[in-house]
Amino acid sequence: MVDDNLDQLAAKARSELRQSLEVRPPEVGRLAERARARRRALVGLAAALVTVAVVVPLAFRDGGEGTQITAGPAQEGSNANLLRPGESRPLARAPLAGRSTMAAVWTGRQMLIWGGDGPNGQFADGATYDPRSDAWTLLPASPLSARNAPAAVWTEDEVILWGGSSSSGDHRDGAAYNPATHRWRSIAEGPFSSAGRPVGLWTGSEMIVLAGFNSRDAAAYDPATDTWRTLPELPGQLQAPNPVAAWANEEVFAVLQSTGPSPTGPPRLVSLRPDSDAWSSEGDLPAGQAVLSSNDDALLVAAGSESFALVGGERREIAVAPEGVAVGNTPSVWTGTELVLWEGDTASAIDPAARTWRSIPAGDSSRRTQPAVVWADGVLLAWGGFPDHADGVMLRPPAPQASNDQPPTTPSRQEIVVEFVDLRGRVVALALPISLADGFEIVEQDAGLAVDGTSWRVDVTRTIEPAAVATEKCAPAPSAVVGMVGSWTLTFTGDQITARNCELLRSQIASFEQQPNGFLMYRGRGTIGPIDGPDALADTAASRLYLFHRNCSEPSETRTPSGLTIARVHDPARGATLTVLCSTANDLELWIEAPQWPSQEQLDAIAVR
Amino acid sequence: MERRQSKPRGLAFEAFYQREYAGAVRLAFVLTGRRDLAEELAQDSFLTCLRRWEQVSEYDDPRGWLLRVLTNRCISSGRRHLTELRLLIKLRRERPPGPSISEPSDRLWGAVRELPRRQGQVLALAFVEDLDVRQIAATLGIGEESVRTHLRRGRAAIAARLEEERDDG
Repeated sequence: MVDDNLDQLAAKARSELRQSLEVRPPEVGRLAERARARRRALVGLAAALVTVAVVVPLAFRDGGEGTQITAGPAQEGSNANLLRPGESRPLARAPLAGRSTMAAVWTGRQMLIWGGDGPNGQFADGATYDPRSDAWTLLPASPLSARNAPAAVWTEDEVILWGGSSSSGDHRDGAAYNPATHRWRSIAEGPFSSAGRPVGLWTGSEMIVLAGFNSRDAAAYDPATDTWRTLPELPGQLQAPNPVAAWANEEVFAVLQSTGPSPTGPPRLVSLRPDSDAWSSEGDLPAGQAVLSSNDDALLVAAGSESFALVGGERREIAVAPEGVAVGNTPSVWTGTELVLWEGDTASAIDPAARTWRSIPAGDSSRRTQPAVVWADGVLLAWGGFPDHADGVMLRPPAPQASNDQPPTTPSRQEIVVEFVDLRGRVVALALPISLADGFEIVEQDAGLAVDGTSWRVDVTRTIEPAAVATEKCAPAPSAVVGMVGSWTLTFTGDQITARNCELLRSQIASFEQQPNGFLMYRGRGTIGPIDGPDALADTAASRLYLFHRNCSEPSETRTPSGLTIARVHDPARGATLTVLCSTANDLELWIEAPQWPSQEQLDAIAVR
Repeated sequence: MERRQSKPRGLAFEAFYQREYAGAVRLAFVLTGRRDLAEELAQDSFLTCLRRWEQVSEYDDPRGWLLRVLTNRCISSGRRHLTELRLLIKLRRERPPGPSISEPSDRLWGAVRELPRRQGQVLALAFVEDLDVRQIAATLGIGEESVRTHLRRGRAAIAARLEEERDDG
């Protein structure tokens, strides 16, 4: 009866939906155009996340001829602000013995390490590392026996481990760990045992498992039903000793050992749609070890000293390795913009957009074999590795290079958009479409802040007289000038946005404290006050000061349910606008224009000492 | 009911796109609850399809492939993608109006969205696309027994949810 009612309701709802949701498809030609527009924005956002500033804690430092404000990375959400581009630092001492070939997964907040191989055998323990607190936490005992190299994936709910090997043989059991409950559960046994470093891939609903380089077996595990299904056998054995596979474009890609007469012959790339009955060959790869990564609709491949993207079956060359660099038995991580290969004492980065492959500082001096390496939302985390390292390193890769294919950005009569985002759920964006006409006309100034899927926009249309812009007092911009906002010169260099303002006084800088990321940010015990009069400022406990402005008019303030505040104050007498977004809950802040600066007394009065 | 259409020879993408677009948006709408997001996801999925059209058009069921890509993007594998799209959509000024649907229908689709990811995909394909067990299994690339399990559990959860709302309301 209930079933019948549900079917009737569904039929009615379906019919209603067909009638009420009328949509017309855009022209086919516009699909790619629209996607490109989205991607352009997102690439900018992603690049900003990785290298720049997500939330824009303003930093104030002596800029020589003027005072420089540099946008810094996020306080949370992104970990990029933990280090400057190119910097590294050691991880806190782990509660685990040194090891290699352990499972390593980034869960969105922590790097989870479990199992592995040491001088006295395998391990059955593990721990998580939180880069923001630089702290380790031991995992509870798992239902699995000691082993190395289990396949591991993060499902966004659980870390699933399967297979692996130990002195007692290869394993076919697995377990899932839920960080929210700190509990393990056993999962159904696989249809076969792993055989030489299994590979795990998460498709969004299933864990695809390739048994290892001593086997051709493949299967898929569905955590929702705790069931396995076998997949077609691989047409060859996975590349050894570092088998690699990737999930890209709804297909599994894997690299097979050479099937030719020479064991050093070219490896082969194969693919499988999980519902099909056979693997397809995607052609040979350059000789040598390969690594794979998924980048949106493309598969990225680095093999030997070559790299390319596979898009719709078509190979697009990216770049060749720099002198002395080649893919070895190398862990790799996709940062959102680059494929970083890391071996402890050497590292390189492949940027498919800029079509570059460059050596980068590795942040360590010891070669490590089979360490744990994960990309942790802005920084690379590496730990362990043969010979039994028990230490680790956090590395923020240097800012990506500009593409050689792109013309330099120059001020022109065009709309320019600079956006920032934290791609880890909390998103912050700043958009400044600016048109540089005669003088400096701000056609539109947008400030958008989105947190947990909620955003705000502020729109301003006004004209600034060229005479009111004191650019001539400022030092030349260090690189491409992208626009003028009020008395600020904004430059975007690909890894940071910089604002220079001639009107700030050096004597007012002292109250800002140095942040770990190298930026300076003011901290205080205050919040945006009732912006309804001169010197508006209200101290509140357990909050931080973000804004004060004198002689304001047309105040506006909106307090959001999630604790965020956006406040804008426009001062027509000065033709200036000050915009602040802040959150006492999330430590977000964004200052766009601040032509009128507080006095030293005000700063002293509220500074945390 | 057999709804799967046999693959026309030399199926042109344009015709496929025109024929399937509205249905894809409806399915994405049910899974996301947002019309603008549904259109973005549908367009992204068609673009992926277009890029691989030479291969996809040779599949027995290009529509099934499209629906799988779309449902995966709507659910878990597209979480980051969804976040990004939501941001971009919010940064735009215009927002298309949502469909005008009755409260019972709205509650039903809301209940589908609250299901666990795989169950939600299965129930959406059943309710929106009217696919049977075999078709859903083929579309999602999972076993028919898994589909039956998801259908059974999903339907029970939806019925309980609707019952609960009726009691509350």
